[in-house]
Amino acid sequence: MAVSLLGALSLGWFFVLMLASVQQWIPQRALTFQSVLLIGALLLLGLALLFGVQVHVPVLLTATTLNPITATIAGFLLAGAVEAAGGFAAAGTILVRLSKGFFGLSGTIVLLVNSPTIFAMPCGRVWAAALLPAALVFGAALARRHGNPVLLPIILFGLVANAAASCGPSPLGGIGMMGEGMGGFLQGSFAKPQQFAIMAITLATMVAMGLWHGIGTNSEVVKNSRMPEGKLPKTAYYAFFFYVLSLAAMFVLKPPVPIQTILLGITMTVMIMGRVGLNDLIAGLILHPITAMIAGFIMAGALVITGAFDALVWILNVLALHTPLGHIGVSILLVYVPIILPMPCGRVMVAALLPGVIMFGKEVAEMTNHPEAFTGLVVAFILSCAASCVSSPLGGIGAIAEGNLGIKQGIATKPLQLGILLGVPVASLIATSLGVSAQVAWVQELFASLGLGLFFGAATNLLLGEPFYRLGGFAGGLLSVGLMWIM
Amino acid sequence: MSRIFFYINVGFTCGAIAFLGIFPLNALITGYPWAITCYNCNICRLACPVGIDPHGFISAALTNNPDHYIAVSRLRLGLAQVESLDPEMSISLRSVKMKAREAVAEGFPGETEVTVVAMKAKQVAKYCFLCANCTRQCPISLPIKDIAEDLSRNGGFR
Repeated sequence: MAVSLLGALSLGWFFVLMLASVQQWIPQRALTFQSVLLIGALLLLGLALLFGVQVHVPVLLTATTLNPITATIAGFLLAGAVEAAGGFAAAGTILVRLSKGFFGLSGTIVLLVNSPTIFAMPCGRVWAAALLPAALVFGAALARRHGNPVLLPIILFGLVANAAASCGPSPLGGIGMMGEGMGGFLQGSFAKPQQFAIMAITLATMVAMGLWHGIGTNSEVVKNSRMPEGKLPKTAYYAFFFYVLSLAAMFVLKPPVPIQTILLGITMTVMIMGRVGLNDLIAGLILHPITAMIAGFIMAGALVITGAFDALVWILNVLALHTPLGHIGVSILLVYVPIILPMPCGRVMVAALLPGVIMFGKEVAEMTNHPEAFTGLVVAFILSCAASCVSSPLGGIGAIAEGNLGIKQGIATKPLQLGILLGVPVASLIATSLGVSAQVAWVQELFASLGLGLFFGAATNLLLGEPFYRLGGFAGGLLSVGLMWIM
Repeated sequence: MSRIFFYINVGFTCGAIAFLGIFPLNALITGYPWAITCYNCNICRLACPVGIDPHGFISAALTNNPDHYIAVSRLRLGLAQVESLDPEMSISLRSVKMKAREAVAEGFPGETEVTVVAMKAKQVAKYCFLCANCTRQCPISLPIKDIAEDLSRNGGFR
């Protein structure tokens, strides 16, 4: 296969831009990430014209995936409505009560941090925006009660790592569906390997946060993050329960209706229930990830026009055939590219690189004579992309937690990356050894789920300084995997 | 942030948001407003007996472009027929990807059977069985067949 000079140049240009943004060589206070991507795309199109390549503007449009953008907007509106109705304050109260009961501290934390993957949304920010205020109040209350401030970052970063990666297995237009469709797998095939691996990512992140001494916490935040004074109105609890039950019903019934319609339907009901105004909804919107996604898709379109993906596959093949890395080494490198260059939205990388990854994956399967290597590579790459937005210094989900904790921006990047680094291979391991969800027997899957749930519970017990056999931790772990299995 | 960068950043962010507005506009113009609800999950790709990527029809509607190239995997035609339809059409000949005109220039006879890799939406619509398998596979049951039928009958959007 030949590679065009234009393709190689544009691919190099893309990686230089990404590196310059991530490393802050192009300071964000001068040019935002969106501007860098759009200027970069315009220059690529200019370069294509110089090389005599026809630039078809519709290609830029076809590279854009609307579903995550519109679902994210709908999710933010819903989160805004539930927040304004006091639903998340009610959630914080419920969590504190739960932690004092049978589930205890560890069981409640396991349930809380895994909830984004149980009800996986097409964008993790829907859950991050929704649950962080409740998690902050809950975490601060626990930190004060146990005199251990590290509990707060453990809970918050565990939650955001889980939320960030949860867009991978979402059946509502998640990143995994793009990989399943493009790779020729049945719908939902990647769901279970990803969900189990996300639990591993979450656990590894929580352990890393507990051990990473540089994180620290802002004592003011621990002191001041408290439940709202006075008793919450009943409507706050109704709004929260309606929100959770509606989402659960949506996941169980899977109606053939776009997610956006359902989310806006729930939003309107919550608005009536909690007497919420339109301004509260608009306040819930976070434009940064939405515009970053659009800019990323435009860049992906420009890369398609210039033939950068053909160049990428050619380079990967050369590296695999002519360097000691070989096919396996290059596959591992490819899987971790999204973590090395974390974008504010994993779909930027998926849109840009997935066609190349699929082509390379087929080559790897053929060369190694292991057809399952293709599945393992695609699943791992998808999950790596999905999770990578948590550690992005360009306004990733982790930055929201850092902001809420009042700690230095970017300080949690390394432990977050470590969590993803350790957790992603679990998806590949499950997909290649057990098979993807459509192939594996439900009994095998159930036993794997139960084992993982017990392990997660025991590890969380230990992490929180309790005996590993504490029943609350096990119950939390088993309930989490049970709900994932049902949903 | 200095003033010049301030304007650049605001301009580009507004541009990105305005870019998003093109989709509903095109979807309304082509007569398929439901196209904006597509999950782009590509599940429909597995359903087509001809190997047409049905999502391509949605992309054609969203971009108001009947000439949008759609990936095809199981359509085999004669080289002469392919070249007369569209010399720029992507084909696979002896496992090598090339344009139809390049195959003709290399001297392959017109009756050589080639595998179509990508074909314009308005042309590939004529090969669609209109079986609606794609709709049955779609998680939100989008009537993708309607676009193919429209393109097949009118050669473009209404």
